Amino acid sequence: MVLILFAVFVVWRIDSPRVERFRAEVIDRVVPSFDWAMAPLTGTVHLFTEFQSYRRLVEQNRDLRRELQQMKAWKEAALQLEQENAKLRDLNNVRLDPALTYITGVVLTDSGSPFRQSVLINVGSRDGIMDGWPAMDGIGLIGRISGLGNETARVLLLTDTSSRIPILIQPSGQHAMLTGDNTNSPLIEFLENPDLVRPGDRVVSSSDGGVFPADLLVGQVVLGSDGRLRVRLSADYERLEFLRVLRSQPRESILDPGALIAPRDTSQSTDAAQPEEPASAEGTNG
Amino acid sequence: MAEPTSARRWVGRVIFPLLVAAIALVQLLPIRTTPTIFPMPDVILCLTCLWVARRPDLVPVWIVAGIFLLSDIFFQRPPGLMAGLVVILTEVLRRRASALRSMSFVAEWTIVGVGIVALTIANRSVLIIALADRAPLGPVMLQLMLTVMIYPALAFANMIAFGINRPGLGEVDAFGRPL
Repeated sequence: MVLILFAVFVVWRIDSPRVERFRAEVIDRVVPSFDWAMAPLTGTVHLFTEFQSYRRLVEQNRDLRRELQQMKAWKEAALQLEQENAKLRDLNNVRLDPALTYITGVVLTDSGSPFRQSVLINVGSRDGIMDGWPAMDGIGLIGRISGLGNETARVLLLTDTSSRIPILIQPSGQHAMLTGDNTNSPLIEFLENPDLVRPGDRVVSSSDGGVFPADLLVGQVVLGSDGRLRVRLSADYERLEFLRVLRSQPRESILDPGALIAPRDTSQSTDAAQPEEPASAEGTNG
Repeated sequence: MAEPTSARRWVGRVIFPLLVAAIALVQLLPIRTTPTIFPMPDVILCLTCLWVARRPDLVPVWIVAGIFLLSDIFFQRPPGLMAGLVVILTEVLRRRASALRSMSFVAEWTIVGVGIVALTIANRSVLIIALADRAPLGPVMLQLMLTVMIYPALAFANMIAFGINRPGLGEVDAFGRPL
């Protein structure tokens, strides 16, 4: 029996994707059938944790009112900026990517282990989800789909030790990798010039390598207590309940150099491909 | 006389997987989705050791193997490795079960603790040899310590709830074999 179990391990080591697919399938069969027990239990636990905060309800309410007042001012500013932005975009003839639509799923379970950071959501390949698509809560990036069943999909959180995504740090335009290390704030690695990056800078995803759509909000740069640059994530990891999975289409890539330099026949026209290039180049730069 | 005791054994065999399933369900609830520096102890492993050390007849090896293979799958661990190691550990404990019975509780606790430590080391070594992903060392050590620490509490709770005590020296089962 021990030999059989170790054989399973060896098979996993040799042919990991197949076994992981099997794992996804098993979870896909079992977990949705336990939904009836899990949903009320989770709800009850949340009820109890929230009950503790009722005692501080009055002061919380006051704080919220004050915050709301500030937010109204910000909202006004944002509206004005949005209009200005729209006007400028119109002047510059910028094309935004219209393909970013999303599917919303509910979190079923977490990974159940303190060393793995992932959640299982209740949408899967039945809903057209594909491996590698990014998942967000309302605000920021949460992770990406890694492991797909028919009715469930596993979202690998940015905090997991095996999570690596390409990022762009906003005012300075520096490219880097965001590396999860099982803490609340993932690490920034492979930064070209750390001097240009300050705590408080905005971090967004970048489309380097064609893995992710660009310009999804990730968080803010902070200086960790160990003196390394980390990212405080914008998404609310405390309460993951509903996740949006973005449909990300693979980016069109430009393979041939075109006929700009090479001599060409006058009879063949490659002009039809020309207007596409500046637009997609702009898209990649964000 | 034979009927009730045999039935009790089967009830015991059913209770154990149900208990483990309940614990696994609670662990899977998406309550804490942020990483913690303070990992929860591995209750399922500790519980299995406890039952095997005290009532090996209620936890046959196929139940142990099945439970841990499933939990490997659910908890995103490399499938089979942990299950195989746990089967080895429980078989060692099972062989010593009658000897454990005549020892003091502290001795039983020590032996199980050493077993769990050895299991963790073996697990990690195999993962290193296989060049597979490993969890960070610090939290693993902490979890290991906590897992060993909760053994007395689990032993007490199980004694109260399910009567999983150490069988007395002269106790026999339905067929007159010593337990």
